Amino acid sequence: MSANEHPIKKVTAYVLSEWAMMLVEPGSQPETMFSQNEPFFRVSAYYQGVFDGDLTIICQEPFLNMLARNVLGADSEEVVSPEEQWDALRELANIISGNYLVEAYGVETIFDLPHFELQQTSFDGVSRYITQKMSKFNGEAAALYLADGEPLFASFDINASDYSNQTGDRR
Amino acid sequence: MSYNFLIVDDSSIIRRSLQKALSMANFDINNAFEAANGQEALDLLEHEWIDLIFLDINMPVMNGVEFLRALRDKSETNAIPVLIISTEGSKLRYEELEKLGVQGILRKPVRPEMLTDTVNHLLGGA
Repeated sequence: MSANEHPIKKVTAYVLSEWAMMLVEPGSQPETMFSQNEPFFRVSAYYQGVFDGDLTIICQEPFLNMLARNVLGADSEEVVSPEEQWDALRELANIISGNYLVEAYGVETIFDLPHFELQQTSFDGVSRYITQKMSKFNGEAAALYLADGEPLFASFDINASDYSNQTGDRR
Repeated sequence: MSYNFLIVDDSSIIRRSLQKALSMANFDINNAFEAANGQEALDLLEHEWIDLIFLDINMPVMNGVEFLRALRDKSETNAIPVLIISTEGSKLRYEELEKLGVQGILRKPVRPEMLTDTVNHLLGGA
């Protein structure tokens, strides 16, 4: 990972490897990485205050199952409920969010708890969103990874003025 | 000596993974209680003896800071050691937590070995 990388890329890879114990590789083509036939899961956290913006994570069922099992250290016979899978995704967003804020804004700023929204959606529901985020700021504020071979998309979208402040000393 | 732990976190998967990490670290656990927020934890403390509390900060109903204030206000509970496990990274928040007498702060993600080392240290010094 490069030191000049946008915090969302760095933090997402860090949390996936440290918390979920996953092997993380960069992805490139969302339209071929994701399976169009499987449901998509999306979690978003919305911020207001020092800046306005949102953190969004998009994944599919195999990732969700693997995430929950890895976090629990579950063996093959251990049952992981759908509720626990959703909870794992929400907690992933929570941990990425907390680490992102420290990485991007330092330890001097206090942020209030963001509001998290979880939803199941379809390929049509997310493909345009991912394409739009990947093209914004040349894709710098979005992360696309293969985690243990399963695709994951994460983006942190904030106001343009906030973005230049945040990355001004990184370019 | 066997210990009673209390894990306070609104995430069920975090509570279950902490329980598992503590069990696998071979601590002599009598009971590992769970609470999904500060109020549930206070209710449980009315009738259970607890040796160490694992506490998240951002929770609904009653958050970790509010819980800590209530805990420290009561003579029956004000000496219970508290280990913060949270995504919180703000220096000002850490200072506030230290004033409220927390024994340690771990920022998520927390590796099992880091948890084990910290708990060993806290129990050894308790």
